[in-house]
Amino acid sequence: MSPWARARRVAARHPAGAAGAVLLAAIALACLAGPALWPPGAREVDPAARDRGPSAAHPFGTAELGEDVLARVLEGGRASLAIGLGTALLATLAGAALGLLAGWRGGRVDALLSRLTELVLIVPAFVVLIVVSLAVGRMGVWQAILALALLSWPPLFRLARASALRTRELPYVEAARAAGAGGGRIVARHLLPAAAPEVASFAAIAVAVAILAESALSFLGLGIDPERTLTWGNLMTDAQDTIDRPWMTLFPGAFVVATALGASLVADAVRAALAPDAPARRRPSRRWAP
Amino acid sequence: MTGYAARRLLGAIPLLAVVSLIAYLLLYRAADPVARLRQIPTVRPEDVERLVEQQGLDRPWYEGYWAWLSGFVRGEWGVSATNRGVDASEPILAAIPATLELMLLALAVSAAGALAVALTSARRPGGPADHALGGLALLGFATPTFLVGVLLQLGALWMRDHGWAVLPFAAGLLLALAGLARLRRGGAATIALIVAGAALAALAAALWGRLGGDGRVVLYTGQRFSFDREGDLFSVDHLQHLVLPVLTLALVNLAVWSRYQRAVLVEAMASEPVRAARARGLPERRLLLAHGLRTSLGPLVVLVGLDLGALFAGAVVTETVFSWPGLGLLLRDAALARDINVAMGIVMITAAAVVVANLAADLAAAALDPRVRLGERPA
Repeated sequence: MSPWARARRVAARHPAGAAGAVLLAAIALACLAGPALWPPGAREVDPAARDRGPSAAHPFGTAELGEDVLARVLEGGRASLAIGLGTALLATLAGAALGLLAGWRGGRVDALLSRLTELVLIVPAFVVLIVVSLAVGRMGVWQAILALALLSWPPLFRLARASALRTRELPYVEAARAAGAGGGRIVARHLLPAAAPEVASFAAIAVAVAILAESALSFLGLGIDPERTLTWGNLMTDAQDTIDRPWMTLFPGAFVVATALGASLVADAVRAALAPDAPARRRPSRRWAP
Repeated sequence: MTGYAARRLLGAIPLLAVVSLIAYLLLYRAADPVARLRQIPTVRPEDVERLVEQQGLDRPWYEGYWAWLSGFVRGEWGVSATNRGVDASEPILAAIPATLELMLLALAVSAAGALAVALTSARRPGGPADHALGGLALLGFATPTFLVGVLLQLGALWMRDHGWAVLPFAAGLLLALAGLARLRRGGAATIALIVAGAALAALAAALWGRLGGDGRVVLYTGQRFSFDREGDLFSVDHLQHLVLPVLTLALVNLAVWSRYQRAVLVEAMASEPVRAARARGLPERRLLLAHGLRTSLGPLVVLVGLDLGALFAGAVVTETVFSWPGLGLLLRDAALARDINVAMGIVMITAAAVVVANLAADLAAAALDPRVRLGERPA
């Protein structure tokens, strides 16, 4: 079966996941197209149209200096999506690699790495984010990705470790070991493929969690500097006066919700399609910023 | 059990020490603790220098860390750059009661809600109610906390201007919809649901004008309630201020907790003892409440314990949106004002709270479920 046909079959079986993927793709395309789709510049000031509600000329309304909110949302989406994807990628690579290592080697390596995850989890992630934002001053996109990834890897580590612990006792792995396969080969050929579906599902959730965390941090005014880079989060910084200007919060917020929802739907579908035998109950990924 | 608790707490001390060292390096070495003081014109430079010397900021990091640690243990947490230069421990200790109150109320509401939602879902896994609640939980997970808070505020304002009749109206509509959803099964209960729902909605619509808002919507707090006077704590005013923040936290928690509890319940309902009881002819309702629920409380308690520690200082966003004078708001204000001593104190207090909350949750889970052995780590 061609990969395309297989994807279609999965989509037919998991319509919610397919809808999530389409939603994500649509948002990503809109943000990438940006100005081609909606010409006004994100920082274009228009003193004649300050603080206006949604209208035909400005479907999402205008900001304090008359900037078009739709253009700002599309531009902010680039950074927000980059943060979500970058964080998930980094955290998945680190978490899966360390988790497989810990699960395969066991012993002291495992104990040390597990201790490390406890260390990361002992202070609530959002508090750590605030501390990091104090340490680096105003964050850029890269600092945000690094900080978020540093906090995101422990759940992925635990998942990969648990999977490796389960898999390494299975007969086919034992057979491979008896046939003389080296550790690297067993991890790469047997443990990694066994862990991959669950890890992939969790990675999709990590995208949502990272975008949500960045938006919360920027909402507090501690995240990415809006002078340098627009994100969905820092577009909503002025939400203290949302009551008077709801469009400035609700439209970027809707994009955050849609992205996180799409990622969660994809995660559920990936899990249902590729890892139906994984333990049904797992510790859910928590939100960072209650 | 006491021995176990003592061992756990002692075992956490090295972790807390490492946390404090990392936090110290990040906050006192990467960031500049006295930058803010230097900017205030009324603060004399020699006073700033005295502080720098006192806190050991001019010495190498290990001596500075030692100075911080010995001060911290003695209860001298350093001067707060805001709060008129009192010791950092004062605003932190003052904020704890408000945080505890919000946290515990939110905990009670969210846990009760999560159990109710999970029981409804688990009655028929894959049924319409399960699907609808699962979808709502996904939506709840995807919505940023501050958006929940802001939407609740907008809703409250709308009700102030247009009357709160919308609440009974929506409730009636929901009841009627629930009745329609089970129309195929028929029965008197279905008819009663539809009729009661429609009647409630119609009544609310008819009385819409009379049930108007009284203009008393409580959005922000800002005010510190005194916990010394008991009248303050239980006053209507005080409780009114708590409604929206508690609801915000509850909705956020509910999205995660209810799905987890549902998964645990479904698992428990498929277990051997429950299947045996079902074969004996026990009614499904009793199975769910007496067997399923009883055995599935442990995992939820552990999860709640994990989140509780995070709520302690982690309700930053909720407290900010509603100006609730707790630790979260204090942390946010300290971060914006670069008030390093206060931020450091909150980090340490939170880490300690996480340790205690996790321990309490494990003890509670062991008390609920005799199969759980303390000290064994699940893989």
